[in-house]
Amino acid sequence: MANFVLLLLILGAGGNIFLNKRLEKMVSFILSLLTLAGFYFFITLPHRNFKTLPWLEYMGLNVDVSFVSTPQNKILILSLLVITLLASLLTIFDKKEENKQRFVSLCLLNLVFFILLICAQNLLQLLICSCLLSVLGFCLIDDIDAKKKFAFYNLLSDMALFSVFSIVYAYVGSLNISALKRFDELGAHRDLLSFLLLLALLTKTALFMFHNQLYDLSVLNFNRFSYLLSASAPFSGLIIIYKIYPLLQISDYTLPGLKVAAVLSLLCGFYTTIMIDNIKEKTIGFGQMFYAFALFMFLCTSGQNVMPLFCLLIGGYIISLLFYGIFNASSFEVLVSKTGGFISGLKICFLVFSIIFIADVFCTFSLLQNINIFCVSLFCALLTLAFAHVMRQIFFGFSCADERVLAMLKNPSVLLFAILAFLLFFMAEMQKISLSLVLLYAALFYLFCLWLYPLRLSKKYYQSENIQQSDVFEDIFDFVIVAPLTIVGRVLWLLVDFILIERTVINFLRKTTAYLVLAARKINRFSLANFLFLIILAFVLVFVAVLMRK
Amino acid sequence: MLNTFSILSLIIIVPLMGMLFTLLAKEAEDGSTRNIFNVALFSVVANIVLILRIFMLVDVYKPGLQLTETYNWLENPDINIVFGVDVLSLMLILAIHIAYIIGFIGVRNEVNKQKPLMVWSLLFLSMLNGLFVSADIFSFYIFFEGALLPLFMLLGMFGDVKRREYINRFLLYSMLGAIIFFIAMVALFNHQGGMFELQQLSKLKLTSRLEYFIWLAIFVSFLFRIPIWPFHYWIASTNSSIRNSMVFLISMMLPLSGLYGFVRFLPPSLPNALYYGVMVLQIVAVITMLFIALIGFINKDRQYKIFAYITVYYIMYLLGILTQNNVVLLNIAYSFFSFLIIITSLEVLSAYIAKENERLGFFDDGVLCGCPRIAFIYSFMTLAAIGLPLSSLFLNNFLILSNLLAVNIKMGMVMLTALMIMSAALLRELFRLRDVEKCAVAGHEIADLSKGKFVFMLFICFILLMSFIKPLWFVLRV
Repeated sequence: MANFVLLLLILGAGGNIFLNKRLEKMVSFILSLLTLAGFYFFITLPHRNFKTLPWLEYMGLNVDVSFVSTPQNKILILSLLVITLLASLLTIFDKKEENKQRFVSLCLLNLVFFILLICAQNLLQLLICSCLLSVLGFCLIDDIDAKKKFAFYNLLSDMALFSVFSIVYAYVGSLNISALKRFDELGAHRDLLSFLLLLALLTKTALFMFHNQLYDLSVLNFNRFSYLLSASAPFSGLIIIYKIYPLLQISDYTLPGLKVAAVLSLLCGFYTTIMIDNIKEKTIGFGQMFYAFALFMFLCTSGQNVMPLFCLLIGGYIISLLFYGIFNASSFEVLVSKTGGFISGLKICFLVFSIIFIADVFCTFSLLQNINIFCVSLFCALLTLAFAHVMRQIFFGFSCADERVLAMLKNPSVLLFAILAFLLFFMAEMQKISLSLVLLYAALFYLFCLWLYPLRLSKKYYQSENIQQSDVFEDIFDFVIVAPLTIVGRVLWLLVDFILIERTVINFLRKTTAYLVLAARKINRFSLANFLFLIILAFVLVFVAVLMRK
Repeated sequence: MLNTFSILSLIIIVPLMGMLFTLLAKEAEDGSTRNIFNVALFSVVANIVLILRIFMLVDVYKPGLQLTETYNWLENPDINIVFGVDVLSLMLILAIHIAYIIGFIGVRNEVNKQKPLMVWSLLFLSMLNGLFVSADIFSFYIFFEGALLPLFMLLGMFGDVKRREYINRFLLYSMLGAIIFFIAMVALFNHQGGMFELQQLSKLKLTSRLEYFIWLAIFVSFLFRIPIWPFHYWIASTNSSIRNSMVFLISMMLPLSGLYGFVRFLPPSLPNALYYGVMVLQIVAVITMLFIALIGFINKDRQYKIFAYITVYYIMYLLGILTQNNVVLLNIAYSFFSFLIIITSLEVLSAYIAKENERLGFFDDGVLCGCPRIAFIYSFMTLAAIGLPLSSLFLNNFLILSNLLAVNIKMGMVMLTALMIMSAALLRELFRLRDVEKCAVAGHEIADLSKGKFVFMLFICFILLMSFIKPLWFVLRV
């Protein structure tokens, strides 16, 4: 395992350092092939593999880098490996991607830190990987505004996590994750810790109120943002929740708080998929639904079962690839309101994508039904409803598309179909899913939604600028956090620094000194009046001194 | 001389020698000052070699002063000068030297007053080295006050139009601290009948009134050097008037002498006279942190932002020192190593950008879009500065803060808030500089770093990364 991680690290770092614009396609391909070789090597690893490398040893602090592979860890790592591999392959054939080699290399580095995050056995490794994943996310985003929001949210999250772990270390005296249970026994500052934890985790996982960071990614290249949606900071947030689950139990409101946020996020994602005109933002809405649901289900299993996280990763990635295919087929048309009637040119695409979607929903249902069948059914229904709604608009809706777009409609490449099929196979094979009637029900429900088109009224909101452009949470954060900080800072600067210190204290001292100097000069001037004044002053002083002594 | 092994004296003498040679170096006929620059740079590099040699000679994991050198200066009165180092002082010395090299590279092309800049900088370096190796109260005092002269001269030469006013403030303020320290030293000398080593200070038996006076005087004199509220304004206005990155760095190193004073003078267990004083100091310190961070957040002057960042960190280190915990002290040394390199790099790049903008008449917004090399280094340094795991700042701050949180959670949380605000301010500044839209509107591009400077800065990034992996990675065992 350690060798595998080292190999990825060298490949990633090397690819970033030795950038070559002319050969970038070939280099990216070679890097992907080497990752594929690593994938085969990883599969052959035993289910349980423990290795630790000593790192820091001073003043009673011992920190090791752990490479602990358990079956649960292996599932997560394999999923991330598959997504990284496929994203790299798609990049090579993506004409709109300008920096292929850099992207592939950064993906490999991203994978390395995800593996280290998943294998972490101590809080420091966890925190470092979380921070480095933020840095890599920052590098992977190639738009300054998206970068900015991503960086601020993740900085906030990492600082909150930093504070939480500092407090835990201060009281428990150990960085080991297994020692987290001891903090519960000590019971210090539960509410503060709980608040910080909620802040860190909600921000990191981009849950309700903090999801804006994801929507800003929609300006990126499709393949890039679908990779970021699956294998970036939000997923690392879920893994952190998985690793520090005992800490979530220290307060009565951390777990319920997370559950409520998950449900609200799911609804928010659903709202986006229905109401927002932008196909990329709709994809993010689907991703948000998966994240929220994965978290909810994971919390329902008391942090024991990673299957929801696996489902989120593969199932969510499949959905984003479906939209990627549609986006490419429609000559990169972003607005759904500018599509419609695509079935004439994209029959195969519609058919295959529908089948893949139904299979995806079926796999998700099969994998999670043991946890809570009611919630899973509800989620699958919502997902199908939203997907059918979008498909109906694009493929069967009234055509508002540009003539050029309609003329250029072309089914996606075989590579995309192959990748989607591989993902489904991978998903089904991991838990040996067998066919059941649920598949038929899913297909029927999908067709029913497609035919009925129940949320058709939402289409009129595509014209509403308030809904399409509004960024309510950004405005709230500006109003609640940034504006007060700015006002307080300005008041302190102008009132305390400038008026109080500069104008009052320093000016007073300066003027007093000047007056004293002036007085001394006047007193020392040669005149009878001065002599008289000094003599009288001396007498007065002597008199006062005598009085005081008495 | 009682001890013949004098490597510690050498690290004080080498910059002095460098200063002399720089003074003698001639400018070229075409006005080039490369000669002067090379001599100054060489003396700093030579000193770094010596410092690395000292790292090999000492046991870095052993507490207490090592390689002690004692010189008998006067017999009547009996005054000895004692030098000694531990890992804390060595890390500080090394960090300052690396910062000096970065600072020198930053002012390499400045022809105006290059010679006095190099001469006074080297004198300041020598004084700081002396301060960090001094192990007795007398030599400590000499170097503590000796550092003021070069800074005074540099402020006079490189300040802006209001420099006379600021120099007056600086001089009055620093001299007041010096006088208080001097009085305390004389009182101690009279009480003891001679000079003594710093390590013996906490063991002295003083009357309660004398104890109260001595500790108060010593600590107040150190506080005069640290930008604590309400005196921060004094230092802030002085620093914001400086338009030379090297002088700015030197002036920002001065508070370090006050901090180091606390490290060396603070007794292992607080005497009663100090208990309430320290408590008040802690309260004032956290308020200052928050205060400065908030002003740094709204202030648009980049120099002020860097000053605010430095101040917030200095106060965090001060609060760490006041915990009197050896683990915290060691972590402060490791953290400071990266901290100084980061702020130097940021200041040098920042000054370069400001100068280029001034030359071309541009604004700051989006200025980094056309220069990928500066953008990369500036981004790396900013991300390291805000505490991401790219330097030893991350791990050591974690350990410092966890100790502070254990001592007083409210104080720790205020500190964390201040750090967070300051990080947001730095990040906001980075995005302002990299704003593509503003760049496209203004359509300006400044000259990027040369290949040589870029490689050098990459090497600095490598040093920071290595310090994250292992703080003492450069220590070779012999």
